[in-house]
Amino acid sequence: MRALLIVFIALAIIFASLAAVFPEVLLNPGALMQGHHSFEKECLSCHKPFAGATTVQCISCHKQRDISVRNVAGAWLPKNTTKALFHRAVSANSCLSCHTDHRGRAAAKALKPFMHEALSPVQQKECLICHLNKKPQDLLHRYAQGNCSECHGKKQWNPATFDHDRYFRLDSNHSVSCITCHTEPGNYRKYTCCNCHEHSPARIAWKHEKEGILNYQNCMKCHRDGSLEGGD
Amino acid sequence: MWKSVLIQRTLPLTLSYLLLIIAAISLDYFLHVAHFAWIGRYMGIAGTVLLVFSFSYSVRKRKLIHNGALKFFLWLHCKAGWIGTLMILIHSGIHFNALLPWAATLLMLVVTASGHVGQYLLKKVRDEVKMKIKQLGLKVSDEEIDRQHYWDTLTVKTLEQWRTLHIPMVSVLMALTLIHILSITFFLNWM
Repeated sequence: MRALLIVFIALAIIFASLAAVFPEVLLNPGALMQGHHSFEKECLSCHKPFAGATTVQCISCHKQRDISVRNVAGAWLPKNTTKALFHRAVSANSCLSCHTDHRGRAAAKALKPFMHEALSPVQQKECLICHLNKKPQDLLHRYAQGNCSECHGKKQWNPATFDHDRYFRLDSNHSVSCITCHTEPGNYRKYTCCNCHEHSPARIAWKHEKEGILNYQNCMKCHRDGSLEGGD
Repeated sequence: MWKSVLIQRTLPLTLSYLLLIIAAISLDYFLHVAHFAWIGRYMGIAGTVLLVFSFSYSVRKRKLIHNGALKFFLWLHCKAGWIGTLMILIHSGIHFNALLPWAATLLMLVVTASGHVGQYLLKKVRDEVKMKIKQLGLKVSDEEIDRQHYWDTLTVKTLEQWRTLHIPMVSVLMALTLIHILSITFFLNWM
């Protein structure tokens, strides 16, 4: 038993020594990205003992104002304004919210799933800085001015979700195709309620004027759903 | 006779070992598909605790624990060892990266296989002891044989030879595991 204990201690010392001398072989959980390749033997360049990798180590080489402008050696990079502006605006200590390593040579593999919550509230409203190329140039989106979050969620850009109930609740009597009310293709800001047998202009005028209501052109101002009485 | 050896001893232990591998691959696959692969990190801790717990059998054999049937401690050793190995295999996942933890994983599989061989040998020796006692014409129940002659079976030469392989392998596995745990603690932030 004592002999086995000695073997155990001796082996533990040998393995620890080998791990200290050859960490890239014995401990490295995966190849570092190309830019960090030279640090494969120098674990403590990024890892603080008992604290893991910290952003302090990242920004000691990667100056925030230089990201996507100059590399760590000071050489100018191809112009990428979007990337540069994005990195200047994020918190200086948030590198590890998006970036990791040990996932192979390609840096693109070392990205974590992006969380919009990592951005400041101001940035969260500036969707088009990053999503400019995803904005369709149709009539619907021509009217959309920076309020993407009304339709697009943070978890995924597509498919968009539009809550029609915020404007008008489509109950069983109003379960119709878009074109019935939105007669101008692609322009969903314009609508008409007079495109069905129930709401003829003459009947609407008669019913409203009887009640002394003269401003009844914008139906949704008072009628938020298919109930008979208007809200206001 | 060959049927008895195959069905009663070899087959269940072989199936137990194969089931261990299949269960590990299936559960790991499920965790990856369900995006719960992070659970594997904690499986490593739980599995190690179980393997350490399985040493209670050795502690009982060395009479550092005085109470409890040795047979029960052996049962505990086998079950905790099997489940602990399964958890650590899931913890290892499908990632072939650092050499040290993979050496530990492979050696753990060898030690578990060796444990299954040990179970086979122990059962074989105990059956032989029982047969000899019966040949002597002594009317003793199986339970009494288990209780009275368990210690004798452990000293049989075949088992002694097996132990000279099994226990040093466990020592190497413990050393590899210790360095793996120390390196993880040193380089990762668990907070």
